Amino acid sequence: MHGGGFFTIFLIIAAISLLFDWYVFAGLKTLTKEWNFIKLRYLVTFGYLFVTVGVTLILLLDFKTFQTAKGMTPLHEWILSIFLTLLFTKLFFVIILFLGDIGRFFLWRR
Amino acid sequence: MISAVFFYGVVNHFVKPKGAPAKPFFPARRKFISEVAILVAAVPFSGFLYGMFKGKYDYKLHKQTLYFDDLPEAFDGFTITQISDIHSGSFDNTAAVQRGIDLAKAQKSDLFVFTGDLVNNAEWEIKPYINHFSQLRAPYGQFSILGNHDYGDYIHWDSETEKATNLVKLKERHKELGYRLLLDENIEIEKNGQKLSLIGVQNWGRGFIQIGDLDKALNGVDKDAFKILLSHDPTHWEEKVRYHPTNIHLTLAGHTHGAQFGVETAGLRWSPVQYRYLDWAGLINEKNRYLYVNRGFGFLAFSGRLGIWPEITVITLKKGDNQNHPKA
Repeated sequence: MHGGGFFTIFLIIAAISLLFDWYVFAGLKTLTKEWNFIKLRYLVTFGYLFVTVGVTLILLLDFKTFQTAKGMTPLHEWILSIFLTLLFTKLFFVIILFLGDIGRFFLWRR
Repeated sequence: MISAVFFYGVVNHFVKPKGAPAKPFFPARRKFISEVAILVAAVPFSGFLYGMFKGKYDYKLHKQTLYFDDLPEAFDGFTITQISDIHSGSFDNTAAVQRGIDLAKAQKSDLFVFTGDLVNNAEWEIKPYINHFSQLRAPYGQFSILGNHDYGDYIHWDSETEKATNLVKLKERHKELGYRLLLDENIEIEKNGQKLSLIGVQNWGRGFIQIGDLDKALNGVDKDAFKILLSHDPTHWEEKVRYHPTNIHLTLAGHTHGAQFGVETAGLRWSPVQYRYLDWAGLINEKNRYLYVNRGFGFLAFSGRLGIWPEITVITLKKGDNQNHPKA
């Protein structure tokens, strides 16, 4: 399971994470839509995308170095931890948005 | 269903039903939902951050008193401090680690045991911490075993010789720490002329390396002796120890880390690791054969702990009828 198997699993998780990013990004755009400071709006929305997609990419790039003679260093573990923190945060965000969208969907159909 | 809503979202950008308003539907409600989502998402976000910056070094003391009819009189009140799963390659704060060691030292137990996984992968990981963990001393000695991570199985080695040398050096590190490593063997601990047997096996775990040999470790142990076994993986107890013809009174294990994530309150006890391990933390008793699973001193992969805090265990052995002390 170590090595290639784990990398495949992380690729799948990363793909799900990127889907979440798109959903959360849409939610943040809605949230900041009426803000007067356009630069702040861009900072929040695109700043979010930059950080979260960046962490996902760094994790995937770093993953290949886990299996060196040094193994998983504290730096690797920090990157993984930040990724997991963002993933769970996004998961909660997406669940709420999703429930809201289901409600909107059925109201729209009536 | 998620795909359907995503699909709907994409289609909605391009196609509008007849009579649909030009503006997005219920924009205010969408904004409200987003605000609620931000608030809800803040809970796991702040929780994980706490676990990463504080929780992983928030050492907790777990005390257990166990009663045995056949405990030799001399060992009535005998105390054992157990730590497990140090995983020294993951530490990033020496001062915080020392706080945990100080807490373990402060227990002043009669015996100290370490139940495996000193490192994540390689022996050199423990080098910066030798002077710290070697402070753990007990009047009746310090004893240790190997865990699945101690064999160097999870990283690339240039040769089998290099991997074998790593294991030899790791065993040397146990000596430097002042820990007597028990490799499928036993020793007798004597107090006031009475004895108990301390047995240590190499790793044996379901889904992991299975080289621990309990029968070999029990070689020479008096069948009537009071026996304490050190075995890293609790599945060893589940599959071998509890059914073994030799009555092993108490097994001390670790390995699960309690997934470093979960909930343990008076009315609720949950961790995702429970779907992998039947016995994942704390005390288990089956027909007066006890297993104690330590939640681990260190952490691995996720550089944090949330809800399942790092543990130092103190076990007190008492002579008496355990039926009269069911909650002890």
